[in-house]
Amino acid sequence: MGKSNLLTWFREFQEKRRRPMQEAKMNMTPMIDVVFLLIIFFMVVSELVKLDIEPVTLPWASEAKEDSNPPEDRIIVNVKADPTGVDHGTIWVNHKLLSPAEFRTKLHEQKIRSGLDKEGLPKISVKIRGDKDVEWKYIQNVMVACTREQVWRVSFGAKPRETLNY
Amino acid sequence: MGKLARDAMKEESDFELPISMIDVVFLLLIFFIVTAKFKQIENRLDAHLPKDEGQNLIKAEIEKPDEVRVYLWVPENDPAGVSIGLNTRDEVNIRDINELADKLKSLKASIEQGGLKITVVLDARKNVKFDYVIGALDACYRAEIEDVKFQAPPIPGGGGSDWWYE
Repeated sequence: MGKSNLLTWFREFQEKRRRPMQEAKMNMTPMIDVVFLLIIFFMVVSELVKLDIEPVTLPWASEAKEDSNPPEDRIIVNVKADPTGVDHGTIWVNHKLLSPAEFRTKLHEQKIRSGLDKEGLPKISVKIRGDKDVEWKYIQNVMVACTREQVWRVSFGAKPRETLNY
Repeated sequence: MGKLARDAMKEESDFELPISMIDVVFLLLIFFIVTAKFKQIENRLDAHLPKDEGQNLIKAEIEKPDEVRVYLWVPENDPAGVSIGLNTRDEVNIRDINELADKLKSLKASIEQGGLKITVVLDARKNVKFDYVIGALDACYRAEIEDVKFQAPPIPGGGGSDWWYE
């Protein structure tokens, strides 16, 4: 390499060092698209308000069937347990506290609204989500109300389990 | 267009938000991630009640040869536990729910050999935990017994079971 080429090279090298480096720019538009998709996903899968389910600890049952196709006219009745005793054994339907008499009235109204089946019996069904620690007498309050209204389709909410250890 | 008008337009177009859109989008995403609650799988155990109105008067003693009664009560030394008696409430002859399922299976086989269809009546005292009643119902289903009835609480005017009170 000649002397002039070496000088030229050295001058270019010095210029590159002095020139500020170009900032690496990131195109944010696709990232915002991805983030919006994630937001929509979480909005769709999340259930912010559950009208008919209360937090109860359901009992275990190995023979319980999956409740994937619930009947159309169904009332979900929650019977809560409360160690403090305030809400123990109380009946909750659609986040409302009902006494056994009020529950029977509500059941009667729903029965009339839903109509009768071919046998002349109420079409509605009831799912009792009772806490596992609640006493049997509180569940029986609900069952007696159902029997009085001739609502015979009753099911109990349960958690699936392969084996039971009592 | 005059210089003043151009300057005014430039000022309007130079309006900047105090917070960037990507920050807002990320905040929304975090909010929905934190508040998202995925649907929990719940199962159900079907328990059909009598189709006629009111509680049927089922006597405490066994009437029919195809009827099996499962008694559940709270033991004195274990208020959170359960004692199980098969066709008797004077002694504990079933150790746990698993043994109940096995015994019911063998009873079903022997009753059906006689050409009859087994019926199980679950008779639980009022303070038995709901968990154990569901366990007994589950044991019936594990023994492939579908005809399961529940002993009603005492009816005003007579009927039902006074044993429930104790």
